[in-house]
Amino acid sequence: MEYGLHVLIIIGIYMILASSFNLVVGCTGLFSIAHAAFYGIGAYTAAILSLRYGWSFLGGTAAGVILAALIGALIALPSLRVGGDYLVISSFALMMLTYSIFLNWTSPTRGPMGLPGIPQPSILGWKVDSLPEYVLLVSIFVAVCLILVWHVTRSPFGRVLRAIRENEVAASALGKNVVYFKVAVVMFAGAIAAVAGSLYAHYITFINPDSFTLLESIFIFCIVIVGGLGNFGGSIAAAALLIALPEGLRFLNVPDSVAGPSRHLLYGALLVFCMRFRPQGLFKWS
Amino acid sequence: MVLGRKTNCVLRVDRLRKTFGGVQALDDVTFELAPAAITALVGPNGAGKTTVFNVITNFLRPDGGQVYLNGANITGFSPHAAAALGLGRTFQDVRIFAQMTALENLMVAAPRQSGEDLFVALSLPWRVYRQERELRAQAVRWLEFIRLTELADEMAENLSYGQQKLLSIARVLSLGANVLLLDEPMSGLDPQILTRSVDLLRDLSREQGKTICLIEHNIDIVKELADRIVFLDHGRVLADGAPDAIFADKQLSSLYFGT
Repeated sequence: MEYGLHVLIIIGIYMILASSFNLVVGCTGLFSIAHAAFYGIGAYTAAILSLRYGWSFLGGTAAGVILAALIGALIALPSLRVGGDYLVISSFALMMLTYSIFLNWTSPTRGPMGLPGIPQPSILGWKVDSLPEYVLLVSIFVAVCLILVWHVTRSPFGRVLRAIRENEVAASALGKNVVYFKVAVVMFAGAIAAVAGSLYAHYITFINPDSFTLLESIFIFCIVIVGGLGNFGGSIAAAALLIALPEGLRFLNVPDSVAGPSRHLLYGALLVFCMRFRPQGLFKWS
Repeated sequence: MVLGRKTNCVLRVDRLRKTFGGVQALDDVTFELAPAAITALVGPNGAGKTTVFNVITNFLRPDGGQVYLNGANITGFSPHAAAALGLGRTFQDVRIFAQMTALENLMVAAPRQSGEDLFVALSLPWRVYRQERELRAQAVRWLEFIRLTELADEMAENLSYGQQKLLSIARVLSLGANVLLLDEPMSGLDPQILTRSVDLLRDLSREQGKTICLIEHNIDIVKELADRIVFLDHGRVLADGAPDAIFADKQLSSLYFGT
């Protein structure tokens, strides 16, 4: 039971990450690999503010959101003015940079030892200290984030994002300031990822740099690809599938030394399967 | 607009120059577009016709010369800023938004949508919703105008080439452009859509007062539509005048038609 609830919480966090990343890579067609960096910025900001300065959960989350959006603008603006492809490089740089900061700026982050003892959240007097309560809290945040992302996808803003993906030159010939839209979507997606980071930090109550590596970005990318690029519902379903599937291995009596690597094997196989048979993703309904 | 009327031109290109490597793509190109008239830009392949469009719409920076829209110098503007001033263009390779429906192709082109601002989209959904309804109605009207209403919800990639070309013209109309630069809107169309397109362009200029400049190789169409012809070769304007005069010029005929 407890284990099931834990998996649910992790699924919820990845739904937030995948759906927001889908806005960038799927809807707009921008190739970024820094989503875990924004996730980490959200987690570290919330953790440090609550541990050192006694900030509340909501305050820390808001601070992470703002910081992630600002950093998003900082990497997106210079690279996207030159051309979309440069975002790969600048997002890679951001990924390396945040990881190094988490690892080496030891006074606030304690480096590789990580930050233990992050307090469990309390909102307006509601102390979230049991697992079912945390499921409720995550559900509320997942709902809010998904509604926001869905709303943006369906809005005129999202429609321009898709037009940019389809043909950037035509979009600018139709009066769209392409740079504005790209920078705004990177900022927005980063901000949403920061929410997931804060939820994660306060739930696990311990974070270290290893949770926010390039590999994590690639895993989020996998979810989006398996769900289908640009497919909102697909990203959500794929998040559930890719988190739940390897968890199922635990019940097959496989030793841990096999279960760990087979997780990656499973993801790899699923990706190859998608590329070959379902390039539009496993779930095509939206 | 006032200035445009005074000089009796909507768009003026003034001594445009552009080189690509050693190639002089545009060499002191000067011409004007008269309001509500159809001007045909003709000339052999490689004459610089599309380059003129690219420079006017600011996708390319000229090495020299100016572009005036309604009397205002728009040289060096960004493409989206030029478009916002009512300068619309289509592309030779159509550039339709393939994975969007025909209706969405038109809706996205509409100018001044408050919901394009991320903050407005998130904070004032009702306002955006109201505006969306108007946009949709307007887009449907443009689809009726090009007679593709039944394809409204079809993905643009599933439309035929001719239908996509029509849609790309409607997209510029949805933008609210008053000056339309159409890059080979008639090439590769079947006779039926061709006739429809000719009627449509005539309608746009005569009835709706749109100023049109089109690049066209089909001489019959040019004869039928154009009020004026600008003849371009090797980046130079060789002739600029009424169709009768241009077609009567033996030298030009031999250059272009090989007769």
